[in-house]
Amino acid sequence: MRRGLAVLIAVVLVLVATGGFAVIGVRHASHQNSLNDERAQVALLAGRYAVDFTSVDYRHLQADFDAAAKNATADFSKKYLATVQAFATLYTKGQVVQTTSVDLAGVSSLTSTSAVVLVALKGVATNTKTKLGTQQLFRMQISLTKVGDRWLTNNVVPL
Amino acid sequence: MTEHDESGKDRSEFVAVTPRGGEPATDEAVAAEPEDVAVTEPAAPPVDDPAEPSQSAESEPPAAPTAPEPATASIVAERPDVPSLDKTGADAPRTDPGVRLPEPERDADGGVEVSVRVAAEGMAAALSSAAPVPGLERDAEPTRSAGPLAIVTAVCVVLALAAAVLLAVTARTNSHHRAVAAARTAALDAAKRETAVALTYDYRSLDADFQRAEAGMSRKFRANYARTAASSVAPLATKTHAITTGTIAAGGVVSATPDTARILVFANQTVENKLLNATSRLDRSVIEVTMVKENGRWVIDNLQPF
Repeated sequence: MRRGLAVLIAVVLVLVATGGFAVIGVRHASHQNSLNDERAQVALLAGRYAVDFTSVDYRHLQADFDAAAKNATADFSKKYLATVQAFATLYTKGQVVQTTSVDLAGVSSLTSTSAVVLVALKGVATNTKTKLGTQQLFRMQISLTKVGDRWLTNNVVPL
Repeated sequence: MTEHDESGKDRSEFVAVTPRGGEPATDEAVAAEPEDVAVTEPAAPPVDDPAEPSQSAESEPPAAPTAPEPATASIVAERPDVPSLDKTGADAPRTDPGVRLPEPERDADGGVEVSVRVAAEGMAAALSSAAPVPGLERDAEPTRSAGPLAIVTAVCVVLALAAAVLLAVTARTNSHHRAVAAARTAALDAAKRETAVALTYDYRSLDADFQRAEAGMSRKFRANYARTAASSVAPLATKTHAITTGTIAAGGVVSATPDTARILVFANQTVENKLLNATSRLDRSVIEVTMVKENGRWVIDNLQPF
């Protein structure tokens, strides 16, 4: 009986220890999996946002600007809209149409609340002078911050 | 000899004579009630409450010392309609302790008649009886007390094994995560550094510059780079007196495994040569750098400009 109890106590101790480490391990693995998911998500979102920031059509400029601004933080949205408004007249006058697509995106840094993503985009722009369009390469550094459960742009730097 | 079952019921009508310590019981005991006497194993352990030794029945010689009653007596005691024969004495057949077969029945002449039916009935009665089965009870008692403990222990062992398996799996997963995280950092740093080296050369020291660049490349890519450098870069650089300096504006990890990584690099290359009107020109390029871990070092396995 005593021997049985001793064995049981030993087994319970082993169970507690292994179980404890397993729980810690599972939580850590879960956190890492979550970060990996975030990594893929921020790369995807940054590419999408970069396309929004670089794609304009003089026929619906404001809608294009608003589409880009809606995925930005309040501060950056305000700055962005103020900046692009200065180009609105030029875009309209030159009948600028620019479409872009993501070539490649790479995560430069990532935490649970912030990320910096490099996005390489190819673009084609047409205007009154170049009807056939000129190809352009964009190098964008998109900084994201997590607000609630959404990743929002808080800075865009052309490199 | 009177026998008491566990409930204290007097079962004196069925007398089991149990020799103590292997000693044969008295002949009187057999002679007194031959039909009701059960044979018991001399060494059979007592089952009935030893604190209450059986009282002698009217047929039992009072002088015969009674040992605590072996539980084997209950086999016959539970079935009064099944006569059994107790052959006491030194020549009594022995059975294994704890397993007692019904004994041959004595016929009217005092002979022994083997009755399979009676034996079967006796056995069935014993097995279906609520009374403890001799011998079995002795074995069962520690089992009953250790049973729940053993079950709990077994469950805990199973849980501990499951936890150990889970721990091993998560440890492996976490180890992989750590390896990938380390790969991201190391590969990104190496890609920035080695790409900058590959983009830097001076027409006056091309061999040394190319060798330095090749040192940061995989064996496979080194051959391609050397071929291109020798056939294209070197003649043009020599001809134009080209001096280029590569720097990396930024880099990001596209994907990574513990041994491979795809890195996006924004490279800037300052170019000087005698063909330029200006002093220098800045070329901005986008390069996908494939990195591999070779001999413990992260090296360039491919450069793909966009």
